[in-house]
Amino acid sequence: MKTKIYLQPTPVRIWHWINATGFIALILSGIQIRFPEYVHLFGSYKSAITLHNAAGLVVAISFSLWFFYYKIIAGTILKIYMPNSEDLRHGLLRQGIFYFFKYFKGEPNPHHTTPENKFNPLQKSAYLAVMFILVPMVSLTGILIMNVTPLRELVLLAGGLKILANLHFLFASSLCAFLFTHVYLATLGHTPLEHFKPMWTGWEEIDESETHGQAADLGKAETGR
Amino acid sequence: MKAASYIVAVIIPLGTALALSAFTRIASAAEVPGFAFGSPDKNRVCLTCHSSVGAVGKNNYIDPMKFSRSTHARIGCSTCHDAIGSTHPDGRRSGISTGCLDCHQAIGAEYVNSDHVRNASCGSCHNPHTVLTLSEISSEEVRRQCSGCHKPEMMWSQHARWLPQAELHLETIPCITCHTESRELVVTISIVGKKMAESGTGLQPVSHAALKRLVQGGDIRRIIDRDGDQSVSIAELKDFHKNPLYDEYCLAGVMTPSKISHTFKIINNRWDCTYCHAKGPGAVKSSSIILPMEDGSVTSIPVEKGAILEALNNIPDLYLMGSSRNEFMNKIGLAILGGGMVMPVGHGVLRFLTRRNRNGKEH
Repeated sequence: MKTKIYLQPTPVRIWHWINATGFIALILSGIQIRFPEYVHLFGSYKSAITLHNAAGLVVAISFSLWFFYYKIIAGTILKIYMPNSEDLRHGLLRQGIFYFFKYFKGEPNPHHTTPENKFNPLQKSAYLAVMFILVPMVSLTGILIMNVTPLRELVLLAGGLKILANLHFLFASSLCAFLFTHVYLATLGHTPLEHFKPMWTGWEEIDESETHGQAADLGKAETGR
Repeated sequence: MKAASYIVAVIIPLGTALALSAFTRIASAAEVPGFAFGSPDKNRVCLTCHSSVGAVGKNNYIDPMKFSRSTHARIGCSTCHDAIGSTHPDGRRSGISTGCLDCHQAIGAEYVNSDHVRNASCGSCHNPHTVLTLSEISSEEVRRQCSGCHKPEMMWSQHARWLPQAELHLETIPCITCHTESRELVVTISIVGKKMAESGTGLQPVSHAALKRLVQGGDIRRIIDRDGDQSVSIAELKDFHKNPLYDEYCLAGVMTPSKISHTFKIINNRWDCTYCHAKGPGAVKSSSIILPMEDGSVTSIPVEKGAILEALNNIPDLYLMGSSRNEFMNKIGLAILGGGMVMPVGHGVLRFLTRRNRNGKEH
């Protein structure tokens, strides 16, 4: 029997796809800005800069809204994104062993997704680094680079434009590297597209036999088809 | 007819403010009795009085340091001030019968067709007693000429309509770098104090005396041109940056047109950001390093082609997007991206090879 759970609320889904579009625009325009002799995707250099600045602002604002939603409205930011002591003691290793050994032998995933426990310990650690370090830092360095003259004091405090530009590039490269893994891991469901669906519709179908009865405990779980 | 009337009404009278005479007049000026015109220290006699406000008053004062650096010092006071008689100072005004266009005819012919001719004479922008060549002045000094009429705040807002980071561009690049018909640009590099560059208080070239101390009284050219071949290579620039003796100094460049133009029109390619914001040999094809000499003049050493970015990249707070990207950082970035591909590629391959274990059902 299949159980459907409401995994991704509407604001989170809107935020995710705005972010996804913004990131793609930032990566492509960023490549043209850094390597203008080889990449001309958006025509002129100025178009690439304009798109990069606009997409950067959208992602930075979107990040603020995400933080506001999870921290203030849902109040679940730490629960969802912060690995707990059990995660640190056993969860990380268990999940790592699953991904790199047990998965290939066909054994089930030790983590069962619920709206309150969306991420496995490895995901939590990765998202913690991405959402609490990389995205704020890439946004902050980007905002300073965009406003060198009005924010000159801060630019100098951060070590100057050269250091900021290099940090921005390294944070962006790290986010890009995360994106490769993020998209790949999303294909590891029962079907390659299974994990993409909840981010579009909000609902995830899970096999009740695999949840060992956990779904029955979910407040928002809905038994069906 | 209109152009001719401008020449009569504007250029000729106003040109007298920047008084230069034809070289043919030098000989006759040298014959004026009572003054040692034409000698190597031909300006010394005049400056005996004119370098003192107390002696000649504020209006007739000439800053001897600025004047000695000026290119006009080389032709001497009497070349332009040729109407001074042997009885000077006799209380009468020293009429000037020469004008700028006596020497600068080509510039005058170009200038008369520009929009500026209606609003500014030579002397409105150039002080004949402090005039320097493009390679001898800082961006700030060039910009100051324009900002008398073109107020910075208004220029920032006008440029901001289309130019990203308008204020930053206008702060760091002289107006004539874009507002010129010169197809190529040159970069003039000087040795500046690093601390001044970092604190944003402006980049002032290091004095001759300070450079002399660095080489303990030796030839200051050897600071940068180590092998003394009258050319600066990338290796020599790198040596300069690595040498702990020069830790307090760095190189700063001014990008100016290779040819002086007074039409101030913008060539179409200047609207393309990659004219500057791209790596490799672009419009900026040549550069030279200038060093201050004891007599107030400067000596210039050409820099190897392609070394401009090497020189400019070492200025603490200079970053030209697209041009001054760091190759080492590129490699680190590539390694990070490679790390990100380990999971999709490595795991993906094993996933494909072990697909039968999952009976066609992924987890």
